[in-house]
Amino acid sequence: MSTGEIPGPRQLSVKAVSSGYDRADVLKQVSIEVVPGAVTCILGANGAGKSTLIRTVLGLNRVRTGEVRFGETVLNDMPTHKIVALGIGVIPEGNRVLPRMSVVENLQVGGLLQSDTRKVAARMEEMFAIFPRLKERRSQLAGTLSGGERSMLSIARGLMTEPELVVIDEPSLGLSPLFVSEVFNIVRRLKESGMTILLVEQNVRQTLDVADHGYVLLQGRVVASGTTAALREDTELHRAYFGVH
Amino acid sequence: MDMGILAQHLFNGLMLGMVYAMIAVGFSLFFGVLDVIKFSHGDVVSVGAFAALGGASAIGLLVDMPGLSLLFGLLAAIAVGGLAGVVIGGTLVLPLRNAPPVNVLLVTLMAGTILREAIRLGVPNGGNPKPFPVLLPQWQITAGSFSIGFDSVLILIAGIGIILATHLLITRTRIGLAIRAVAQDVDVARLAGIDFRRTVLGTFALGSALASVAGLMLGLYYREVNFSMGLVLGVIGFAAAVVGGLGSLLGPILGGFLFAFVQTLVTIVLPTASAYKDVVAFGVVIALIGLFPTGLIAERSSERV
Repeated sequence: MSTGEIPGPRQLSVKAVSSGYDRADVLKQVSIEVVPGAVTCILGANGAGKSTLIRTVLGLNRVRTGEVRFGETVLNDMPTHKIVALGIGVIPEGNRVLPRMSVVENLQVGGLLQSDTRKVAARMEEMFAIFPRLKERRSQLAGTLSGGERSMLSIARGLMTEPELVVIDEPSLGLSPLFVSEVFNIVRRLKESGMTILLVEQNVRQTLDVADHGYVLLQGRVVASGTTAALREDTELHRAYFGVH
Repeated sequence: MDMGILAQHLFNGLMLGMVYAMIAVGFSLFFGVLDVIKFSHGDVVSVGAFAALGGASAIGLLVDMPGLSLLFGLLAAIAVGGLAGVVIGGTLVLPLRNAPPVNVLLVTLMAGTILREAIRLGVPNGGNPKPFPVLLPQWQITAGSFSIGFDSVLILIAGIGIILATHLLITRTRIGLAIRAVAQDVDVARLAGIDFRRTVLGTFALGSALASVAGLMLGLYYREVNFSMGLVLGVIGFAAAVVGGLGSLLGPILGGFLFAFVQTLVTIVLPTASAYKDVVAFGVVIALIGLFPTGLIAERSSERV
């Protein structure tokens, strides 16, 4: 929480953003800030608008009103490939891998923004050091990997460009409890290495353990925000998950 | 049957198979990146043939250098065919990305008709077959009763070279990696920094240039081109791609050679019924689709482009 003084890092900020699909707004006037060098989490139940928020930040959905900035750069209406080229790594929802490509090729896709192939190869070795399992399966088609291995591959692919900010969208989705803990350990390691992380999750307890700040979404609005210590005590968080039936 | 004539038929079959494969690969590439069937693809073959004819003839009027004419014909075919692919892709196919697939079928079918009619009406006396200039050395290779033009051998080697080069481009280069990533998961590709629009249009340029060069090769081989030559070729290329496995790279190549093999077989075995070779070949296609609904090389097990 006191890491704001790292020189140079850019802050991702979402200011009063509304967006959605067709004519209906899913996000309503959402504002969040992702503090450089810390882990910021977005919590919320299914359908709260977490994925729409991420898609909007990354240019996959259009910003209707409001503004998304990364440092000095306004991201509204910028195509996705240009947004990620600013130094944002993305680990998309659902451990998505490119199934008919080998593990190595998946990582090469992650490194496409880097034109120096030697740097890509060196970075791949770093990823293999973090995820030895991927090294064992390097020439295997990604579609034949287990769920846990896919999740590792998806994370490694998002880190290939050595991004300044990593967006991790529901990493625990569809994983066994054992792998969920594994994934949170990886997030913890990334945090210790000083990376800025925006973590979107349903899994409240483990997310609050690793995050520094958080926002709680309910029906497309931010209903609670603050440090994770404060959020633990917030009744809105419980309401956001369990609702008032 | 005389061995010489048999060899002649087989050679002709190989040549046709290669041309079909070059067209079918385009269908498969487009389906890979956008999940669409672009029915104007066959007419791009005619566009390429006439662009090559125009380029080669223009040089022929200036200097009598067949090699230079051929080079300009080739460049014209690649440029005009590639451009046709990019324009159709960018103005007709991409904007309809979220529309029902039937709309893309209809629109590209109409675009093909426009291309065909543009050649018929735009080229002087375009409704009639046009002689294609002789641009390659006319040496004959003779072995017993088998005799083959050196030019035909060159065309076949060039075609095989182009297909291999396309395969390497898709499997070994950064551009190929981007094309395959877009084909497998558009969102993951974009989130990895791949420019979706540029990759799709690049794929359209590549596939259309291949079909266009196939048109040039047909002109060189048969020494004649006509405005509607792409119509049946488009249907054959589409059939070859579907039978082989739409979305894969190897499948359409296999399908193209298979189609030509059946045609050739009919010509050899039933010389009196050789006029029915297309009927039999399409019959085989229908039977194969019944037996292998996802194509001979199913997308799941093979490397989709």
